[in-house]
Amino acid sequence: MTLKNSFLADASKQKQEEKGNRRKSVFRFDVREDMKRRNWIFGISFLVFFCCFPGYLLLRLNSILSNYENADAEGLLLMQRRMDDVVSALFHSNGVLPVLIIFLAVLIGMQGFAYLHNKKQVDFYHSQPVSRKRRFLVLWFDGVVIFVITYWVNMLLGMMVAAVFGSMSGMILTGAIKAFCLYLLLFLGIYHLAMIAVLLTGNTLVSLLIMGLLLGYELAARAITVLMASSFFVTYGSGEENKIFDTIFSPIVNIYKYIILAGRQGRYYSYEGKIYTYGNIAVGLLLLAIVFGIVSYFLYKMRASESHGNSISFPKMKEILRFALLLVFGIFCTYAVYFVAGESVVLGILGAVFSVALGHAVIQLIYEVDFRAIRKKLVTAVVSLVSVIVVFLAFRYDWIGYDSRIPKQSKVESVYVSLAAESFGDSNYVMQDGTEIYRWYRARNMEITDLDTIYALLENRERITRDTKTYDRNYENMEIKFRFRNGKTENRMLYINYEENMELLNEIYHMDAYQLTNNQVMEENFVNNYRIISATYNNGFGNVTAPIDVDMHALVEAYKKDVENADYEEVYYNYPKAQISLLGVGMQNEEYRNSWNILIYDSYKNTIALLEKAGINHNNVFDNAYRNRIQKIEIRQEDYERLRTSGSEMVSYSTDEKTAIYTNPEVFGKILENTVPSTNRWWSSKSRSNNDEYSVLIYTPNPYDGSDYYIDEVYFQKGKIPQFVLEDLEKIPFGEEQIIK
Amino acid sequence: MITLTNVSKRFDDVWAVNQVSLTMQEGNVFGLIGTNGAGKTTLLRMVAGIMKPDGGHVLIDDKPVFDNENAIKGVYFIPDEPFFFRNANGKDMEKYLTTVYEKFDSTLFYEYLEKFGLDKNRKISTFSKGMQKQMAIICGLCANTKYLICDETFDGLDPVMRQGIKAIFAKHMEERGLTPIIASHNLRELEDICDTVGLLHKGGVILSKDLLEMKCNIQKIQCVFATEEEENKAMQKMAILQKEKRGMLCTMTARGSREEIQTVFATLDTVFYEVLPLSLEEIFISETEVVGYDIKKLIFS
Repeated sequence: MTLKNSFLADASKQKQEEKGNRRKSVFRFDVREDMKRRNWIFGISFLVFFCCFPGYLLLRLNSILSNYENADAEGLLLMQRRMDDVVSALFHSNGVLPVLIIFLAVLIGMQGFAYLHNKKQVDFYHSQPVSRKRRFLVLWFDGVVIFVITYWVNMLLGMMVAAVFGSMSGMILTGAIKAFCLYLLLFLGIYHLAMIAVLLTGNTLVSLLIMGLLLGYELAARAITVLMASSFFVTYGSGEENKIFDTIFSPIVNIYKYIILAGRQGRYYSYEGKIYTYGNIAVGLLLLAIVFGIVSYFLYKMRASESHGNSISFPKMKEILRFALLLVFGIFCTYAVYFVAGESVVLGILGAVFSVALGHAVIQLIYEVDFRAIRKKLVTAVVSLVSVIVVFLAFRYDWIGYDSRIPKQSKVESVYVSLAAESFGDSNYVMQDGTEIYRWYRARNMEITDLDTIYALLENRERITRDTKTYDRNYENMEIKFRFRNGKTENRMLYINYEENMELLNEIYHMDAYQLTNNQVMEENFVNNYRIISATYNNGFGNVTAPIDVDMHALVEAYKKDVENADYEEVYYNYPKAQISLLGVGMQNEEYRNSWNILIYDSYKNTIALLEKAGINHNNVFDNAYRNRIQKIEIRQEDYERLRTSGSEMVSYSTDEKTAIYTNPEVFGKILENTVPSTNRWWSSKSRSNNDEYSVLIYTPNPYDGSDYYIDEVYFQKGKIPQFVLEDLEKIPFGEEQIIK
Repeated sequence: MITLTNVSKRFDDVWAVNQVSLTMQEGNVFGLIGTNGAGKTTLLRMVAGIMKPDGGHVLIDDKPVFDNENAIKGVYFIPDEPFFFRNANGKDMEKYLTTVYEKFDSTLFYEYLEKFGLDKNRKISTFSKGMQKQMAIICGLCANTKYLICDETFDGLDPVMRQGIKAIFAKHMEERGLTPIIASHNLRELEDICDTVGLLHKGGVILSKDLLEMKCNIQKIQCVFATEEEENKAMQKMAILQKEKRGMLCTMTARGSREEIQTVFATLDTVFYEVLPLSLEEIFISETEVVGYDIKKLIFS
């Protein structure tokens, strides 16, 4: 071999060696080596998903199978449906799975980066020629791989089990993949939070505490704010309470919105009118995962290696955390002490001092692990205490003027209002695809843009504060939701003197934006979207229900016309005469059956005419047939002791009551004509009974077998208790009953 | 070359390393000595890229070291308490380090394990502390990095093993230009291996010099002058660092080479004189006294 060849051979060998060395240092070798250190976590994750998917399914499906061992064809069909439900629930809307995923995400995230808490390991790893970026990616990637592999393997095993039991389908697979995508995003969000917790701290115990803080702080802060606002602000709208769950930084809240969504096989609606779909929940989770991931990366890059063993690895964070914790803890304790001590501001403030001192001591113990350290860092504790007291007093005395102001009209785009006695129709609404909307249909759909009328009414509102005496009031509530031009909303409970503002209220009542969304039956396309298959009349007396044998389309149209012609005044001052329950099916999908209730008032001539055509005379409630069936009427009076306090009205109920029993048929009519059935008595405002201490029980034979009494409970209309009844009751001492002949 | 320029590191309110400037030349053994808490480990952890200095710069071959793969790939750090994976044996460590250090020499690794009598299949956690230190040194040497940082590495090794490892260090220095940086609080341990020594005290460098240069430029002289006048002449002609007189016998430490000292004494009338080499300990005593420290209190107390 010549000298030149020798050199070339050496150069080639060296090149090969270098190539080999480079190959060894590529990402996957790092990943593989790191994975060797994490095999126990892999095992735990595998076990968890094994129990959750194939293990659970095998046991559950087998149990169902054994229950239907000797079933006939119909039973087998039912069995299959039950099995399908179990499989579908497991893969689509499982409430337990997210909990397990959260647990695993915390475990995997903390274990991967726990080396940062150990000096020996930090020296070992950080002295290696591996950049922080590369190490971060390796550790992060391995954690994700552990989750994905163990989830998928067991999900597929679970599907095999389902297939063996005949409950596997393409829809299940699609749903399972969709659910997995969200669960992966949930995992990433929590995983990144766990990493942040480890990176912010120097030991595992504090990491766990910080993890709890990261997961729950926003929710706790929102909850305490809503609690305080709803307790101290009298104009705070009930819808605001739902804003607790409109969290920005909580992957957990997001995933449970999905579970509810999947459980309803459609969209999930909140009061705020936000439509949660798979898509926007996924985007929300993805954004959180990205934000938390970026934060964790930069924390990893910035974290000092020498932070191991410290409680908090970024010293400047210590005081920020202390302040944040003391603020929420202090406010909650102050609030609790204030109410427990009978709304004493002084004791509330003492509670603030005690709770902040206690919180400070605990935090110092966690930070320094030294009792003597409690005396240090008092400045933040004092600042926190002052903040707690200021915030509490600001809520208590409404220093921000929440109750005295309403949003400026120029900032408002539209409003939703709920007038007194008009919330009857706010239930049992359905979308065209059959999705149920339990309560918040009106709040979501009503968009009144004629703000001049609304603000004219609001200008006349009663200026109620927390310290206003609330008894003997001449005003009623009006729920209102302001939708602002910037997309935000605000729910308020305002107080209106309805009698004095009836003209404006009537104007609102007749607005299309109000009518068309106040009751789903009033929707323009209602009859096109739903086919009413039956209607039932009920006047609330004597368990009278009667099928209405008329053209349903005509019934709905007649009702709509009557509502349009009616005035709010009638609704406000009078009780409805009856209810009609409509049962309908969706035009697009007849599987969806839903019912709607509508109220009938005296002025509803078109509807009443149709009812009469069907043989139902709503004025004939106390006809002889019904009156003749009455065997006795009991009038009970309870002993109410009303206690009035400075801020709120409290009622204590005595167990004592007296009863007058009427058996003479001649007085039955005099009693009944002054009453209203319990089913209808809430659907009027001004005439609503304030005489809740009196109840009227009508005894008739059971209409089904005649063997026993059937009792109708009715109430006296306001101011309409017959004089003879009052006189009779006067003679009876509490705790006794007397038959009046 | 490793260069530290005004490097500082603070833990809470304490400056562990304060404005330290040092140069560690390639191919030399750099010894870092200092009392407990002097900042040796902190300084080495910054050199190894583990910690980021609060002030100043650490450069390895002109590259900033913190979070810089290219700079750190030339460095292997052996801490005073080495880390091994739970349940790992020699083979596991070899496999791992192969993926991390481009030039890790697996053949040499197993060769050393055999020579040191360490079972490659035995869990490292079952090794004695000394054996674990040996394992760490073997890992460090086989990583084939240019710089090997040893923090109190020789502590816990028996004298025979210590000499053996020093010999292996010498071999690696000769064969591939290894530059060991060794921290210890034991001056005598470093004396026979270090080329350059830096003395740390309370986070600052008291001195950093080439050991040979120091040894060549400082001499210990024992003599008896014929007259007191001759003694005064000697004092004027030489840079005396230290002088002690017991009866007629005068013991001095003076700067200058042996030849320079001998030339001076040739012109003096002495009854007897002898020029002796100084131990590292004696050199340090002299040098640090010059800069105002009482080394006996610093190191030996």
